[in-house]
Amino acid sequence: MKTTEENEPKTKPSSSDLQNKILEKGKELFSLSDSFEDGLFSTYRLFSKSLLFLENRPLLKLQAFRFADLFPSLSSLSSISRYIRIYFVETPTELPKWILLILSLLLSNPFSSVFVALGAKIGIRLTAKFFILGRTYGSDRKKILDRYKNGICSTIDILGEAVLSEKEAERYIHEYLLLLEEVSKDKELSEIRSSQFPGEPAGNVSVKCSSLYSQLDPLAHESSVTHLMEKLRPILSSAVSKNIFINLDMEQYETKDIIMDTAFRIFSEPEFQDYPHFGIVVQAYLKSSQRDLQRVIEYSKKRKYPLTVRLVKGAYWEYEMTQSAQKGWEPPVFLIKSETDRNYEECSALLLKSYPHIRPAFGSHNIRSLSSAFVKAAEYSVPENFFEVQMLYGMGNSYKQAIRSLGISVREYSPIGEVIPGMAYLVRRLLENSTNEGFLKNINANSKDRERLLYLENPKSK
Amino acid sequence: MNFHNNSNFQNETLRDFSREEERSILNKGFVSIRKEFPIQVVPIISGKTKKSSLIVPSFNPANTSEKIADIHYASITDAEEAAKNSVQFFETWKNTKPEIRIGFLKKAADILRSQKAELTALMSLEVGKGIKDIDAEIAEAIDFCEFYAKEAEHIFQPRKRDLLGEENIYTYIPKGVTLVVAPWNFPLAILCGMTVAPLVAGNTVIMKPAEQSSAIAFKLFNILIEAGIPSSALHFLPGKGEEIGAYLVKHPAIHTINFTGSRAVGLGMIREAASQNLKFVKRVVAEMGGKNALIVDEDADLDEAVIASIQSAFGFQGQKCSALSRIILLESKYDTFKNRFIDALQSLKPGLPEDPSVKVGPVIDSESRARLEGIASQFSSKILSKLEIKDNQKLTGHFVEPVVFESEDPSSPLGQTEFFGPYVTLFKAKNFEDAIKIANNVDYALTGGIFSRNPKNIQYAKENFEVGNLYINRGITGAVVDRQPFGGYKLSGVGAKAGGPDYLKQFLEPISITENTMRRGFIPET
Repeated sequence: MKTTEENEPKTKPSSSDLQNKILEKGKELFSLSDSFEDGLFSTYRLFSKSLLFLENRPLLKLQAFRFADLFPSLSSLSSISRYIRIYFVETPTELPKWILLILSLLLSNPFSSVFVALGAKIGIRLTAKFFILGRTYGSDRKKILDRYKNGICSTIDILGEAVLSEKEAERYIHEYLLLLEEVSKDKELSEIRSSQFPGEPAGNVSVKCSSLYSQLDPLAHESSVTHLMEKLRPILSSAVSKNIFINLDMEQYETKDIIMDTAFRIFSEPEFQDYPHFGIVVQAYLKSSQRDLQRVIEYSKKRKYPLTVRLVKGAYWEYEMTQSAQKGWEPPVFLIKSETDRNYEECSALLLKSYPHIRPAFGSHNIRSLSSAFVKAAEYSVPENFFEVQMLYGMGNSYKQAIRSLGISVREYSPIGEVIPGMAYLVRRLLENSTNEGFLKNINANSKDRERLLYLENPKSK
Repeated sequence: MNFHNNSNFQNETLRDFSREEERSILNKGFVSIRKEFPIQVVPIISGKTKKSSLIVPSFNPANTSEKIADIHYASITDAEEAAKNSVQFFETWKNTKPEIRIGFLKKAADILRSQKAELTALMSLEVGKGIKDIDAEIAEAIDFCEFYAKEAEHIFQPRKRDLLGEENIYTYIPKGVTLVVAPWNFPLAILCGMTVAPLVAGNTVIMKPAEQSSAIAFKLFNILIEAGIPSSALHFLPGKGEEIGAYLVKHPAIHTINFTGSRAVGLGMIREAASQNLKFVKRVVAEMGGKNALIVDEDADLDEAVIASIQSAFGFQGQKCSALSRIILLESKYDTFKNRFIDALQSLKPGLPEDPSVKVGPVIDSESRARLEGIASQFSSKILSKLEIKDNQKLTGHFVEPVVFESEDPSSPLGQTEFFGPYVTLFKAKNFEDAIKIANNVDYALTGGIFSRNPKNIQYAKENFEVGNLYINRGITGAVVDRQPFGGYKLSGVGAKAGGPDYLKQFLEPISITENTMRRGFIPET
């Protein structure tokens, strides 16, 4: 607390100055990104344009998401076409009449309805491909190598359904170990790495703790932490022996303290205490995030090498809101998006102030949020090679290139796994890409509107 | 946020156990309640403690070497005295202003709130319930107090329909003495709801708690007295159901029997009440059993369906009337569900319920255990999976191994008889209509659920699934007061739903009063 007070007088008079710098940085990023823009007909552009079709069509959007959520359990083409009828023809949406007419015509006949079903199947698989790197590292490593060649590193995570039993958890642990093995044996990767990214560890893997232990339970905090440590130990050991970075991902608020305590305890074990490549996540949409961040900073100060903190906004907002409403709790998340944005900037500042005790990784697609981090990094004299930006695989390529050209490292969060169990991830990505506050607005906005996106919204004006 | 909610009732919040202070308060509750052991549970009539000639010790069902309480059983003489005193005090209690009675309920809610930790510990140790289930139960008890208080405020405002020269009032008066016969499986919430509703309506009440959960009942009784309920309006009679329960059911002073328990006992009470030659019709409100089903449609989200099934079937070892005992699966989902469900069951940890990582505790007593073991061996050829419990564990308490059966015949006892334990049977259905048919083909209509993403099937279930509480795409236990009023029909029960808008009225007689106010051409101003 003392340190912030000392810093106040220095920063306060220049606050409008700071805002100007952030604006300038944002504009720079936007114009840089234009020069990296994919062709007008690039697949992502087409995809994002087609998502825009859902804008201002709330009923259609709802049905589309419901359909995506349902899709994994449809086992045959006939059931796919049956559900298209139920979801889009028999349920009123804002679909234009002519589309409805064609759709119901096609669905009325068993032969043509097969085509509709096939079309939907291909459509969903293509959509999934935008966000999901591939089935396994082995089968789709070429995509990762290509990204590395273009200067973009990655952190790989394994998609999955909820882990309901210890048997299923064992399967995931096995998959993580296999992934570490495959990454470390990839000679081509290590060549590209050593020539282009000399400081990088041999690989970077994000681990979802909830997939390692089926009985995570906040009430049973102690036993959850102990079990999770047992499950993590072989994964971390393997990573240490192979010099691979391990990040522990965050999910629901409920398990946040379990994961944090697990991280602090296992990272302190003799085998791991001096390992330089561990990371943890802080979610800025949580009201508790600054407090949690302070804990991480205090902890990291005691380590020989700093921890990496991936600062994200958080992807479970709707979930947290319904959970807290049903239990009668104060929501753990900020209610208004702009409050999260503001908090993200405050957390960024905390991270940068703690230099060199924490390595910040700014996980965001919001150019304003990133610009603010970059400006503050300069202000606190944090060298550009000390922090990085993380973005999701499949989103915002031109921004990644633009940031890269500023000399800042960019890492992609690259999920691998089956499309079908990965559907929950996909639905979250689709939701992000279609909300008004979301990233898609950035991409599709013209240059005048883009500038408006560089201002922090005043929560009271809403 | 945009949602419609016509009620301004606020449910009690659950405790957030991800917070460390909440967990440490809970631990202190266990330490402090253990200091009171063995709790002396005694009959109390009009505030006077009665001596008993029969004292029965009660033990922790998970660890039978731990003595919880000494239950001093009430005698027939005590029952007679309680009935006599209840009648005597009835007029006074009836004429007490409703606001005063309402105030007592609100006070009781406050006291319950302040004792959550100790009550949780006592429930865990006396009946072997898991902590999260107990938390929901305490919240439910508090909700019952607050909800019935609010309902009473509303009910005791007379409904007026006045015309020129004629005044019409519709109002309620209490019925008389209510006997409350409560079960042990929701030892706090059900007993609390069944007691405070008739009390706030102006009836005097005799509490006859279940033998197995008398210590919790005694705590509740003391809380209600502390909240201000006059000791002559509420009497506490621990003891044998077959003895004092049966005696009071027949007693001519009892106007209403408020019962939750087995179908056999409930139907017996109804028969008994109907055959009595009294100057009023003795009313029986009975909440009985269920053979509850969950249908898993071919398009169901299995992640959710498996978890919900595990919680609904094995929560509190299946000892809830709402518990899941039949899972009806559409063929295409059968094998995947089966395998994931069995694996999920095998991942549960058995042990002492006070250990927060334990998901499978004991059943209530040795009788229950013997009965369940008998069922398991009778249907051993149908057993698909069983969660092994180690012998040394079984020696310390009444542990029964949770079982998943598989059956092709929904008309067999696996599909028809309520087991009241951690047993669930999988059935196959050809299509959704068939599944509903199987689900409905039982004597009961209590709770039921479906997992489906087909709006047509969801609609079909809403119209055709014969249950008092239907749950869609979630577990089938854990009803919340006011949001999900609870209760069934067919042979699951008779009477209004607990925690719902009709419940209080069961303890009241509606009266309509019409007054002609015209006197020889003169109409007084109103």
